[in-house]
Amino acid sequence: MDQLAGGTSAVLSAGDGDQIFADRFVDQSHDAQAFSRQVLERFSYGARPEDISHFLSLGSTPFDRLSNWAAQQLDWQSIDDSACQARIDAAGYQTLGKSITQLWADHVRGSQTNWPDRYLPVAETDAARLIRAVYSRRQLYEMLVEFWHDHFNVAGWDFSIAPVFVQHDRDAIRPNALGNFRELLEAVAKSTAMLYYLDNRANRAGGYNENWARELMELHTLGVDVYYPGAFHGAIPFGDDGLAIGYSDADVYDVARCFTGWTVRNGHWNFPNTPEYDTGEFFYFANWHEGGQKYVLGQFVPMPGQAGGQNEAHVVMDRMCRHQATARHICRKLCRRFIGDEPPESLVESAAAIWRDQWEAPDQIAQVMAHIITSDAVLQGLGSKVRRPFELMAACLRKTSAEIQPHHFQGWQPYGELYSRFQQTGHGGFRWPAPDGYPDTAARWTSASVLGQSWRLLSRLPELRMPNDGPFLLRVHELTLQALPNPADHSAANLVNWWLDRLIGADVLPQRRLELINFLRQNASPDQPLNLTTNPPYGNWSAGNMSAHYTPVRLRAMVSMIMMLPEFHRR
Amino acid sequence: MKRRSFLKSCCAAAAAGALPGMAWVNPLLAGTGSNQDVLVYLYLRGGIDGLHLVVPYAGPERVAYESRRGNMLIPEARLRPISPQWALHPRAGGGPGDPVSSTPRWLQRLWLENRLAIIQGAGMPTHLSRSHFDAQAWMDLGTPGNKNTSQGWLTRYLQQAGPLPPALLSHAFGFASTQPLALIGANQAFTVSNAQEFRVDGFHWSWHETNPDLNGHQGAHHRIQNLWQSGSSPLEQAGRLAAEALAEMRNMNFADYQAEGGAQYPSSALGTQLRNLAQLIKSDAGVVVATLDYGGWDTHEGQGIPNPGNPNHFDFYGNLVQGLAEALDAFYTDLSQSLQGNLMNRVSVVMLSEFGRNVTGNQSNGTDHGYGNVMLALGGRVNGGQFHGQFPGLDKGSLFENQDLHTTVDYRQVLAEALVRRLGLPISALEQVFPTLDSYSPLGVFQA
Repeated sequence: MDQLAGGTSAVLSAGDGDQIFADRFVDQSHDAQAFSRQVLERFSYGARPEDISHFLSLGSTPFDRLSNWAAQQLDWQSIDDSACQARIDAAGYQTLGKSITQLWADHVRGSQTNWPDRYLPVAETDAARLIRAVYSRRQLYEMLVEFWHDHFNVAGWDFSIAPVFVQHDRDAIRPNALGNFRELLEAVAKSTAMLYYLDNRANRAGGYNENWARELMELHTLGVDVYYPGAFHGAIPFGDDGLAIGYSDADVYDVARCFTGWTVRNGHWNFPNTPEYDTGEFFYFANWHEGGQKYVLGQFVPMPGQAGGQNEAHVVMDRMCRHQATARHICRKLCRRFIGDEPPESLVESAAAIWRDQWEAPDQIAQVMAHIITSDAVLQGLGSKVRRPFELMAACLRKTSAEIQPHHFQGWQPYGELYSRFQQTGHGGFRWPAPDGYPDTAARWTSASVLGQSWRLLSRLPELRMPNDGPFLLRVHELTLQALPNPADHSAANLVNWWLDRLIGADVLPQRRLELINFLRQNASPDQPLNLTTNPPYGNWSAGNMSAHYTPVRLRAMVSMIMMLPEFHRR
Repeated sequence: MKRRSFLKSCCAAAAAGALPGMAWVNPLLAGTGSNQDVLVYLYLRGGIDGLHLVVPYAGPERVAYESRRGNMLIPEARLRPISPQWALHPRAGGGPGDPVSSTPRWLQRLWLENRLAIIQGAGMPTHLSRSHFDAQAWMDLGTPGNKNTSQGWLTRYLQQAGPLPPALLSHAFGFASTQPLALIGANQAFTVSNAQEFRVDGFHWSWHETNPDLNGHQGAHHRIQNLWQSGSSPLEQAGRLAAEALAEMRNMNFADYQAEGGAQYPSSALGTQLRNLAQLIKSDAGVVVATLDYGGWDTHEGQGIPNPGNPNHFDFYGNLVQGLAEALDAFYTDLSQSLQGNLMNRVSVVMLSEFGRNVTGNQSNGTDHGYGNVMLALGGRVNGGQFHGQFPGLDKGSLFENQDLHTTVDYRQVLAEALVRRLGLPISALEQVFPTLDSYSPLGVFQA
């Protein structure tokens, strides 16, 4: 972490890639502005003017600012986020503070047939997620939370998982998102949602259930690149850490046996028939643990002895977490998320080395992220990722100073419609059914369906307003009048230019700009002021003069069209 | 003339598409039907337990089944026999309240009419993975053992296909929200999860297509294509396809489609997608290949034992089977009973899954990942009502790793046969589509 501590380009003067910083970022203010914006589009849910000003205040060179910004963001707990929390508090969510025992009592046992109650915990977690993406000052942290939700995906809207989902998000993912992976993994392994999703709650002696064990090795830790199907125990070569370099089905079966008895207090008839065995909490049920010798990653699992059978799972999780394959697998995913769809292998390797060295450090993940963010590869990757629909929606809301307080089950207008359209994009919150989580490459997010449904959402976004002619969610009208108070400045060209700068801030192709101006001006000239202030928010019918026809609505449609531009779809 | 202007001149015809049997014909075909065959690749995601769908009913395999199947065993009396030795899961031919003796419906009916074929022992004999994601990727890409292939098997077929009739949108439809792997690398493939909601309609300025009272008015949705002009990045190319698709799909009026032959599509995603596909086929929109997914088969727990005749008995697996059976029956009925003729004579559906499941259930009344499995084929030119391939055997010596059904048929042989016999692909082109398939050995599932 010398880079962060030093934080100057002088520290980085050695090495090829460092030259890139020097070459490309001679410290002209325009470049500095563009660089700060690109970084913020990449590592947050959208760059706003105030974010860019803050970034620019963090040092005198681009690299200084980048490393200082990263250090601030990675020390997430030191960032005061009370304003965001106040918004969540004000929304009146009922389930986000409930313990697992309360969730179980109220939403599993208490609402077997009451449909919305059962789903309220996942619905409110999803609503709070949008608030945080839009308003939290801990932007990088929130992106890591999203990353780990994908990595440890559970189908949040499943009948069994929805009522306990709050615990998975609040107690497993969020406390550890920039912390230590081993602790994160343990918390996930004990999360009631995961115990249901991958069936480990039913994994017991005499007929183990491999579902969790297999995905644990394939998706959560080692990765399928080191899967040796059908290999016998002992047939896989050893690495320098004394562990087999990969795993086989035989390892899967033995890991499954190690996890037998890791279950949920769900009132199963095998458990004592008392209320404390029906609380929804994790517990280890020794009667279900399968004894006998287990052999995992080239070594026997020590007989548990005093530690109890529960310890076998701890031993194998330790092995997976210090394994080189886990380091590479997860660092490659992090680099794919934050650098590019095909990240440079050298960066994956250097990040993996830190991951492994620091596998017991409480800030292991933050250290690896600091390395990735301040790597030279960041420069090459900027602007190359395609925004997934959630990122698109969050960026639209952030950049238009939207005021939102989302709820899933409180009517159609505006949030019922918002979520309905958003879910059609294929990126609905916690709705990916398979354990591999939402994909993270452009090829999977640029289908006609994703783009068409995203535009369907974006076309509606600026028109969504609170019931009974309440305020619009997006502050298009207010921001326009604030920035351009003089009606003489309301020409189509001025309005398009101001909104392009606000939403994209980088060059767009001239013909696209012209298309926007032509739509907004209609039969007026590009420099002729348009009337935005008569009869807001919709304006007037004016069949004879299209430039005066519902002009404020046309302004909002033009803003939608900017959100649909290719340039807005990149980060 | 460009497609767009063609379409506008055909508005009246498009409206007529809402009438049964009067689907408008692709204007690019100048009024003549294409007669093009269509291959539907329906993937049963999650690893369907084929031994629970096609079940030994009598004979030595039944004896072995009873000795090994554990708590997943289905008694003979709860099965619907389709041959002296084999039976279907009862929900393939009737609802939960129907006794097994009730009139066969859905998949059982299609079997009796010789339109449904069952392929035994299918899978990837050359490679083993019990990982959903690897096995699915290998199969979808058509390259077992390699998931870094840049193109799906259907993508490579499209490259090898001879001249195809002009397509309104695309020759390849993926019914999914994100691009299916079987079509990955096909820039022209069109992916949509729900055709009738695929329209940009949020603008105030998109209320009217044209409004005679407003001189020069044009809705904002007409501008999207212009916004994506220029630029050659993959994103921009994909955006142009999406923008064009939005414009063309808007004209097809999917919401008002009326099925023929009394077909009742279930309201599920699969039912909706098959209904959309039927409309595209009747419209001669140029669809040659389509992919669909029907998931939920990863039954590690609570797989369920059927109890036909008892409408209140919950059967997770049975509900999935019925959902599949009803949707396919509707699709078949709608197309085969069309006033345009029996369109199923040029439509073939192939169903497969990434692997079968462990023969002996686990302790949670479910089954873990296994190996060999069944495949199904449905169509007017399918040699149905019969078994193909070879059942790998449930006796101890025949099992794979002492626990799973083995594979006797490479799934690619079935797909290759469909390409050759139904889509007219030259045998010599197969090595481009399936580069590691050593020989072509058709099983006789499809009629040439």
